[in-house]
Amino acid sequence: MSRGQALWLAATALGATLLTGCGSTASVMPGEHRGDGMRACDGTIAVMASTGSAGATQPAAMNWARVRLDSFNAEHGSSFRIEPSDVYAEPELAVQEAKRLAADPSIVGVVGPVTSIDTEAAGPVFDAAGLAYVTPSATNVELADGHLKLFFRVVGNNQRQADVIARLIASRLDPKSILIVGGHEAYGLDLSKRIARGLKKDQLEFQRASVDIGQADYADVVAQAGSSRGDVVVLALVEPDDAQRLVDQLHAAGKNPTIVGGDTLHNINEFHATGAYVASPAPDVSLLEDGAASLRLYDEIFGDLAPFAALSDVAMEAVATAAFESCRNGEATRKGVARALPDIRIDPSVVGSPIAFDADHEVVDGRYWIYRIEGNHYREVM
Amino acid sequence: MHAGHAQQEFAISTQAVNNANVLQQNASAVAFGERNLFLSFRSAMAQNDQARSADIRGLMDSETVRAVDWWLAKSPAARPTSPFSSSNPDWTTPRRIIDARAALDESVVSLHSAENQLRRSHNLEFLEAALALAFLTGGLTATLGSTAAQKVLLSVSVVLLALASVGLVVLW
Repeated sequence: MSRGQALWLAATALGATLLTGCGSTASVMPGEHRGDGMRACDGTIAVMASTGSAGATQPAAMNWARVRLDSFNAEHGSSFRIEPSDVYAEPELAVQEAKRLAADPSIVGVVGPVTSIDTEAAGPVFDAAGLAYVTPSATNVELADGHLKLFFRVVGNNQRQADVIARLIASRLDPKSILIVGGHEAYGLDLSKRIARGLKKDQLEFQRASVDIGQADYADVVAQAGSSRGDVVVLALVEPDDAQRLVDQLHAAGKNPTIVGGDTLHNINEFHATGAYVASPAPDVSLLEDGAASLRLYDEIFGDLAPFAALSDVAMEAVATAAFESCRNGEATRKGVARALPDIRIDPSVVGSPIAFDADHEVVDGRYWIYRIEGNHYREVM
Repeated sequence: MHAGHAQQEFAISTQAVNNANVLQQNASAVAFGERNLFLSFRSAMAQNDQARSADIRGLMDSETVRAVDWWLAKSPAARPTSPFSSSNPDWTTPRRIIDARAALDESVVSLHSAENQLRRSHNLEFLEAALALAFLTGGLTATLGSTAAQKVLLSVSVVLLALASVGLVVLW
């Protein structure tokens, strides 16, 4: 063996040995560090919604808001606290509570109110106090006409809801008769008026009826309603209990018209008329990655599922994000929240689509879905 | 070295998943325990049994006591049906469950990453073997006297080298 041959052999053997013994020295990729962007920030965010006191509407909106706030704190290192304000469709109480919240300097923003009548009542108090308020569910169109300066909503308004309901009736239900029942309050009046306009555009004839919140006897409405599946009764009522009572009275009278309800009836625990169609401002979040994860968390904490209030999650995230982004010296302020909110963009959100506000503080591209109640669950139809 | 790191990472991640599971079970157990204690506490209060209610209160942890005190301070008509309500700012269980869930999610991500690293290390070992064989056959050519045999062995070496290069691109 020549010297060159020996060197070649030695070099290759060394190469082989090194390869076999050591292999690559590439380092192991560490897991992502979650600490980025974490900083201390204090403040209290009020939630004006039912707290679930005895006999009251269930606290799904409050629960979703709480889960989001605690998750936000965990993700960002902030220590925002929740301040409950137990109001649901009680305008006088909404004013009292708004005054209480306005007087508390630690409160920097509000999630809610959850109904249009409460928003109309409490809004001027919040405006005067410089408190921005983001509703997850108040849909009256006029709320965003500019008279409520610090009003924001993450839900599509009644015009969008009325459009989809009118489209359902005109394109899917082939109605023999239509009766629109509107609640005698901001939500019901506004939604029923807009549904009526939509039906007129489609040249469909209809009758109208008006009822009060908590009305016990709906004999007049029952008398007006048609009795077969081809007859349609549209319920624009703020209280799902009222709608269920009305449907029960229709059935007791032997009438089985097709029921179409507004988004307040998208609440299987309180409105469960099989075969009824209900509008919803959110998709089925259980089918979305973020939504499904939030539902699992919600279920772990509260032991039940209430996907219909998922927009409370989004409303809380909007307020908390505005508070966090405008935080100075570890403290969020009302002024900071009010200034930051118009430019907030939540992407992705628990409802799948990005959330941002337009110049009127309406959610951009807010839309509605239609579900049919089938036993204990919903089936998406539009 | 890569294989060693990957196996170490895998072992740590597996342990982290186990720990996170335990954390989550603990959080659920805390939620269950506080509800049971509260039910007993309320029953003792209803029976005006102050000694028993004081005993039960003594069994509660400080966070549960704060949550219950918040609830007791509210008027019966205005308060939620239990202290363990989302509207109670002093009820800290949701945060415990959220933290446990986050730890579990993070550990699962870390475990997946470790599994990926382990798979890559196995691929690397295969490539290392191919490269070693290529170098070995290349080196052995020098020991052969016949030019034809040298060419054959060198060809084998080049083919193995080429295969290892392609493998590197595909498997890495």
